[in-house]
Amino acid sequence: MFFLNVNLTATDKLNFFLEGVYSMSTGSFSSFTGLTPEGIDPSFPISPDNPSSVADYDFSSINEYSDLDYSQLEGTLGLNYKLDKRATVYGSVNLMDLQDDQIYVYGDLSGMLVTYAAGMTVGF
Amino acid sequence: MRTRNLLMCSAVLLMCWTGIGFADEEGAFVEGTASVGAHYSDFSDNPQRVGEFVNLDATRDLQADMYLNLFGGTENTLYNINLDYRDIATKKFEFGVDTKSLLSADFRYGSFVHNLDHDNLTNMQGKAGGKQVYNTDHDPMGRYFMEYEQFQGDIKVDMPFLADGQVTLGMADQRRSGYKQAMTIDHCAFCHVESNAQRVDQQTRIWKADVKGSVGPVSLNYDFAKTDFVDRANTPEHYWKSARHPVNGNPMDFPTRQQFSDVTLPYGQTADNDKISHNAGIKADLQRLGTLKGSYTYTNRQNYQTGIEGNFTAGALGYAVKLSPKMRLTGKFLAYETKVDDAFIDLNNFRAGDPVAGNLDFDWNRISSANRKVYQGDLNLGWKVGKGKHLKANWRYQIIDRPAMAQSQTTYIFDEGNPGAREEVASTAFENKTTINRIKLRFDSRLGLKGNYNLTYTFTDVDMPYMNPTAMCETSLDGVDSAHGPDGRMYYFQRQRFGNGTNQATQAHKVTGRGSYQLSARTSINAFITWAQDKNDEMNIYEYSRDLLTPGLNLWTAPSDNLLFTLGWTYSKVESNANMCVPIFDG
Repeated sequence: MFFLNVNLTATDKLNFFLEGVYSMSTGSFSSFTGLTPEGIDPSFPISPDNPSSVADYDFSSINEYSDLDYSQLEGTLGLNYKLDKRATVYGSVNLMDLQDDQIYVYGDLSGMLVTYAAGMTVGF
Repeated sequence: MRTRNLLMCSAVLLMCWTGIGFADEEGAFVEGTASVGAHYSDFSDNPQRVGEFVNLDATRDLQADMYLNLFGGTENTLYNINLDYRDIATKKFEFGVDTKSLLSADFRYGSFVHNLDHDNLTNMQGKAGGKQVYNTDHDPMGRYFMEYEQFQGDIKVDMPFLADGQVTLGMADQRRSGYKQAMTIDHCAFCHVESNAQRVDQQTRIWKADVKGSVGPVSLNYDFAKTDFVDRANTPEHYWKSARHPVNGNPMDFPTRQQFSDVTLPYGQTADNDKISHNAGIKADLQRLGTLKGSYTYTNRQNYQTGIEGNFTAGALGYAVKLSPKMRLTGKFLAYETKVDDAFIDLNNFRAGDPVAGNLDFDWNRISSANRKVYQGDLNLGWKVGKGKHLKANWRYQIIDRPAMAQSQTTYIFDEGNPGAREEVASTAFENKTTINRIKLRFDSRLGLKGNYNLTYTFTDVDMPYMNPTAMCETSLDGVDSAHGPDGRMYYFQRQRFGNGTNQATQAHKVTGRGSYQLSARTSINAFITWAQDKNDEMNIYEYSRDLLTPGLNLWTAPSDNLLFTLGWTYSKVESNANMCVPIFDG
């Protein structure tokens, strides 16, 4: 995870700020070993009640089912402008972005949310 | 509505800016910050996870927002107001008043939305042929979320006739409402998984009354709290189909091999419950002999759906003394017991129509794995070893005595030469007594006038940690331990798992380091690292290990008076293992 805050006072009245957090998360299993049952013929029916039910003893890809790979960025760019000693107007853009590169049981969670804000602050 | 809110907030802001409306009595003051604005949010793709705590109903629409922080007072009274309004579901409000004598009060209210994931069940789909899992999502486009609201208030009244005397009356009201995903499993354990939206309307209320005071060198306190929980949402119901053989459809005596067959029952029910707790404490200042502390806690929980009751009783003693001007010793002893009623699990007789290998009664008495007696002692030594240098040592000894860490299931052994004869092997509790020894050393030091650092090392040795005994891996079908039925088959309940599993260590090491240093008047750096290694090599089929490494670095720098940077980096890696045995269905 990386984070960055920058605050720039451009003039006595104008101030810019940038905040950002970027994180990467991965999760995985190493491949399973030794899972093939001993003494069982793979062609043997999986159920004695259903002779066509051939067993599948291939576990080579099971470890990949739960792979997780997310990267997430949250950042805000904004400015403050002083009207006088007590009053300031502000504006900002906030971005939240998630990339889901290994889709798990919840489907593709990739998404982006952008928020624009503006207003006025008064100190008293 | 939003326009009216915005106009009202703007009027307040204008009053703040111009100073209109604030009284200026002698000695009175008020100061603070007020902000009024608007925001607009838009999203693309899936906003549920990236906007996990964003009210998505308020997106793609202009929203008025407001922030007010106000602190004021008169000669005898102080007050503060904090208001943060983001949208109709995301807001906070706090109000506090202190009369400087007799009475003070704090009130807080907050609400937010938590968006939940939707499991699309696509992994619940078996391959064609044979007995297989399949799924049905009855609400495939459902969006799930919870709205949280909490009100909390405390009123404190001083008792001037008693030193430090004070009575506190408090109340908290938490509400959780929305929709979540609820699933049912039909027929055999995993044959048909169905998903529905479930309404949630839960309320938790906490009432508390505390009293404290001092008589000479002795301080006393008593705290009472009552918590009740209720879920007002209608409990959903599900129709469990007539049980049949999963492949050939033969009904035979399948209903008696299932708990539910051709019946509609509630599911996903959250039980109403309440909790009452009493806590009493005493602290005696023995002057040169040190300080003695003691406390006693009793908590009772009632589950109104099952009728099960649980009790928690705890007592603690602490003593602190200065051994020398540079050395301080504290000792603490804690003992507690958790006891939950046993639950009788009443099951249908298995294969009720089979006179040879059937009509088996698997009823059992469940002893809660939460039941335990715990005894814990701590010794702490603080030593100032030099100028700006401190050493702390802690030794903890803990015993956790559980009457039932887990339980075996009821089973039967058949007499193959005598059809119909069987011997019941009742469910048995696995008792467990865990003993923990932990040593912790911490060293703190200054780095001149510009920095400081600390190092901590912790070693934990555990004898008989908690585990799930006989949790996995069966003996082979042809193993000598197999207890076959009279017709030569082995029944599911006769399968004998033998592997123990846990993620609890028998030995654990942990090292933590943290330091900060001012490189120049405009730059400072802060670094930290945690390394931990857990292992358990006392299980019967595998050795468990867990390794953790977490370094981090923060940098603060101001290249000029106008420019300020804060940068940070954190890395975390956790690696652990587990054992897996794949059960082969149908033997």
